[in-house]
This record gives sequence, C-alpha cells and structure tokens, in this order.
Amino acid sequence: MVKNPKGERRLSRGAKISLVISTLVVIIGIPTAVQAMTFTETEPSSTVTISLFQSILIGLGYYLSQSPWIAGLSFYTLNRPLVAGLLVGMILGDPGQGALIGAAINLIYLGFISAGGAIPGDPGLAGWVGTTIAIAGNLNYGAALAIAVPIGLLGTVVWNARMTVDSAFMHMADRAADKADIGGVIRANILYPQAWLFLITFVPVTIAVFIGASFIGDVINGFPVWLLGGLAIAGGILPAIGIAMNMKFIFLGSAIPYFFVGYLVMVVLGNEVSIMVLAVIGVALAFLHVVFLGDRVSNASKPKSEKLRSDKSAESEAAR
Amino acid sequence: MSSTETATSGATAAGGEKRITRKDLLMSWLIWTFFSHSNYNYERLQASAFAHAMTPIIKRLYGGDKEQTREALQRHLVFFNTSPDFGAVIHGITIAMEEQKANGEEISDNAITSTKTGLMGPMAGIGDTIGQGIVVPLLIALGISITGLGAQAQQSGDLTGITGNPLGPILYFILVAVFSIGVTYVMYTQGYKQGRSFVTSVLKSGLMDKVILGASVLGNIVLGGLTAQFVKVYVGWTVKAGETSVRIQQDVLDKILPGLLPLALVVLTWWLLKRGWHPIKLLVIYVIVCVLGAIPFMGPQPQFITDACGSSILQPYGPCADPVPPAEGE
Repeated sequence: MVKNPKGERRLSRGAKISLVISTLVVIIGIPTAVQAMTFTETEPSSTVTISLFQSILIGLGYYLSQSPWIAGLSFYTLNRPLVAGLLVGMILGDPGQGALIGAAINLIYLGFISAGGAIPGDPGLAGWVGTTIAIAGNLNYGAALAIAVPIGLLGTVVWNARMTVDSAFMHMADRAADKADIGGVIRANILYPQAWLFLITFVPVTIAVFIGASFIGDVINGFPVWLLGGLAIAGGILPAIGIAMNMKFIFLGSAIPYFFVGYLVMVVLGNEVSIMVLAVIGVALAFLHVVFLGDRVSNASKPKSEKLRSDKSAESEAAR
Repeated sequence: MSSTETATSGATAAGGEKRITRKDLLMSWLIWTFFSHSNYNYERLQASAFAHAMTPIIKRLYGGDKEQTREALQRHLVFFNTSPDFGAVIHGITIAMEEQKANGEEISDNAITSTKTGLMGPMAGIGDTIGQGIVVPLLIALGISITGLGAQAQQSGDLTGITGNPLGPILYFILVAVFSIGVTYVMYTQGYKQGRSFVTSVLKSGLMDKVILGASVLGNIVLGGLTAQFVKVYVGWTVKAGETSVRIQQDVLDKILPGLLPLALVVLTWWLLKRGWHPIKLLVIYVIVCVLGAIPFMGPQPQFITDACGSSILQPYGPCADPVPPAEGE
C-alpha cells in the first residue's frame, strides 16, 4: 500500500458513511419537507414555475460543471456563476437576465481558489441553483446574492461527499494495477467516480429545483421590507469578501500600492468605465514596475514566493 | 537529458529502441486535460488521473510485458497533486524519464517519484498564483464588465428591468479555454522536450518571480477598480443635535474621501482573512450585520426597499436623497 503524506485528511469509514447519508438527507430531505408544507398553504404565486424538463437540464448542467467532459474546462467555466447564470437563463428563456444575475453572484466568488481540495463554498451550486431561484422568484439584486451564499455552502457538502468517496476508487485502481490491468485503472479514474458524481449532483439538484425553487422565491418575497433592505445591503457588501480572497494571493510586497491606484482611478472615472480600460493601464504599469525594479525583483519577492511554495506543498494545491 | 527530437519520428527506431510517438504524447496530454480531476479525492488527490494519463506511454514502452506494466502503473498511483495547467510540465518530464528507463538507463522508481513530488509543489504555487489567482479573476472581471453589471443594476436594485449582455460569459469562456488548454499543451510538450534541468533552471533564474510580480501589479489595479465599482456601503444615519443635523454619509465620510467605507471594508476583510478567519465565517457575520443595520429603529417603517433612508444605520443602493425624510415627522 502506498504511503499517504496527507494521511491526516483521511476520514474513518464511519465518518464517510455518515457524511454521505447526511448529504442525501440535506439535499433531498429539506426540499421534500418544504414541499410537504407548501401543500397546506396553496397560495397563488406570482413567480415563474419551472417545468420538469427545465429542472433536468439544470441538474445536468450542475453535473457537467463538476465533470471532466468539457475538455476538463468545467472548473473554470461551467462552475463559475457568470457562465452558469447565462446557461440557466437560456434554459429558463431569458439569457440576458441569467447572465446578469450570474455576474452578480460571481462577484462573491471572484477570488475563489481551491487549495488542496478544500473549497470555501461551491460557486457552481451557487451559480446554477442561485440563478434559478433568483429568476423563478423574481428576486432583487441583494436577495439574489444573499440566497446564493447558503446554497454555495451546501455545495461544500456535495464536494466533500465526492472527495471522500472517491478515495475508495483509488483502491480499485490499486487492485487493477496489481493485475497489470490498464483498463481497470481507467475505469477507476472515470467510470465509478463519474457515476457517483452524477448521483450526488444531478439527482438532488433536479429534485430541489423542480420542487423548491419557486417556493424559496415566494418565501423570500414574503419577507418584511426592512429585511429585504438588509439583504440588499448585503448585496453591496458581499463582493468585498470575493475581492479580499483574491487579494490574499496578490496583495503583497511592492504590488500593494497599485490596489489603491486602481481604486482611485475608478473613482475618478466615475465607476462606469469598462474593466478593460483599467487592465490596459495595469499592463503598462506592470511592465514599468518590473523593468525598473530590474534584478532586485528576484530578491525582493523571494520571501513571498518561498512562502507561497511552502504553503502550497504543505497543502498541496490544485483544483478543477 | 537528450531525449529529444524523436517526438515526431516513428514508433520503434532502429535497434529495437523504444520511442514515444507524437501521437502517444498528444493522447497522454488529452487524457490529462480532460480527466485530471475526474477522480479527485482526499486520499491521493490526482493520483489515478496521473496513472491514467500515463497509460498510452505505458502501453507503448512496456506493452506486452505484464510485470513492467504492473510496476509502471503502481509507480504512478502514488500521491500527486499540482496545478492542472502549469503542472503539466511534470508529465512531460516523467514521460521523458520513462522513455529512458525503458531503454535500459539506470533510473530507479524512486528517481521518477521524487522528481514528481519535488516539482509538484513549486509548480502548484506558480500555477495557482498565475492561473487561479490572477488570470481567471481578471477574465471574470472582464466578463462581468461586458455583461453590463454596473452601478445601475445596484442602484435600482431591481434586476427585472435590466438585461445583461450574454457576450460577457461567452467571451470569458473562450478566453479561459484558450488560456487553460494552451498552457497545458505548451507545458506538456516542453516538459518532454527540454527535460528536468530546463525546468529547474527556469525556477532558479527568478523569471517566474518577475512574471508573478508583473501579474500581481495588474491584478491589484483591477481589484482596486472592482472595489470601487461593486462594493457599496452607505450609512443612512443622521446625527441630530438641536437644530443642526449631520448626515454621516454625505457630510462626514464623503468629505474625507469618496468611497472611504468600501475601501476600508475590503482592506479589513483582507486583513481578517490573512489572520486566518474563514471566509464562510465572514460571510455569515457580514449578512447578520447587514440585516441588523437595516432594522428601522429611528424612523417610519419603509414601504419600499429604496425608502429606508434615515430610519436605519445602513442604507441600500445609494446615499440618502437630500432633505432628511424623518424631519417631517417632527
């Protein structure tokens, strides 16, 4: 058996099983219970209803956002609320609206970085299900962002269930390797993990969206005005976390002042110019900065890259 | 490291020497591009994906020899984790080493494994900083900007009237695809051609540090711009002392520096994250603070979201309109 340098991340068998069961309970159980309650109320809703076919497409979309089938690009594309929002919009018949809501939700996940398999919320689930609820419930900007946050947190449960159970397929790959069975290794890398992924992504999302999306929209629209106002305020504040998470990686050393330069340039230009304008200014300044720091760069940034590397190799980094 | 030039030549050269064909290399690259995270798991992360990517190579070099196939598969099922695009250089190097080994050179299992584990940390550091840390957020910011999510969507708060431009996500998709697939391809082929010494010399030369520094400058400027554009904090609070009333937002904060609060909030959030606060904890705290800040304890109950002005501490969508509304109630 191969020694695992990350042994401390491994969970016991009991913990694995309970994690899986709790995932299924949370994802299937809550919408079902919610649905059971709605039958007693039966109030007419002003919201968009979502057909079974649309729910299936959304469930399929969320599965694809975690799967390898789109040239392995899913993590950078379908898993980002910006792209997911457009696709949900297309499924529900309003691409422009979907793209806009997706863009808003994506602000929270701007600095989203998956480090060593641990993710702070799942932008994929927030994008797919969050946009669906926002369109179905006709939510305002702040409420759309605020509902995306808990949904993104729920997504970590899906992610953990996947990362934990997939360890078992690793041992199938070991057994196949013992028999020099190349096909067995390939099956252990694709077939079983993808079947499991399909089960924990497509099934719960389809059911939750079909049963719960319009209902959750109704509940939120029933909130008192001041509470909706609070969510709207949160909509203005939550992007700060996405930006700060990104800053954790690059707000370092001699690059720090440029953050304030970018901020002031945008304020002076009246907040309405395209990011492209800033990017062009940024490329020019980056070039000047690197040229004029010359050979001192490697020394000046040594502690930074050293630190990054030790961070990474300890946490062993990557994601998709 | 003279395993070069043969990448394009035929399968088995003269003298029974085993050679990787260009097709094998491309096949291996394709498998890695697609399935690098297919079986991502806590135990050994990308290990089975690495072994999977090596299968065309193993078939070519050890095909038919059961014992060697078994050893090669086991060799590549060890713990592995790196940046999927920039880290692909490791695959190229490993393929070159496997080729030499299959042709009788003295390369132990240990040498291959330690090359892999030695490089995966640095490549993950570089790749994640440039890819996940800078390029992808930059392209997303561009996509968001093109979609048209600007101040007007936030000011009115009502998303129903405004439609975004679908070109934003589409352009982002294309750009990020070109970036990711392109980098993976270049890394794969260069790793195979140039070998390990090239990569270590690049790592040592400090070239990557310069690239990261330049990209950080660009990234910081864009993040600053995004802060100004999208982070909104407005204080609706009005302090009254006898006849004079002071509106905190317009009369105090905006006088010091327009948009002082959003800037302070982002820097505070960065500082808390740096001190080890979990982003989820911050998300929960911020939402609670926002809802508490919206409680109308100073004035009348708002009828619409936009007229909460002056009745609560925080204020959505924009600063209060000029004459302070609660004044009429007095």
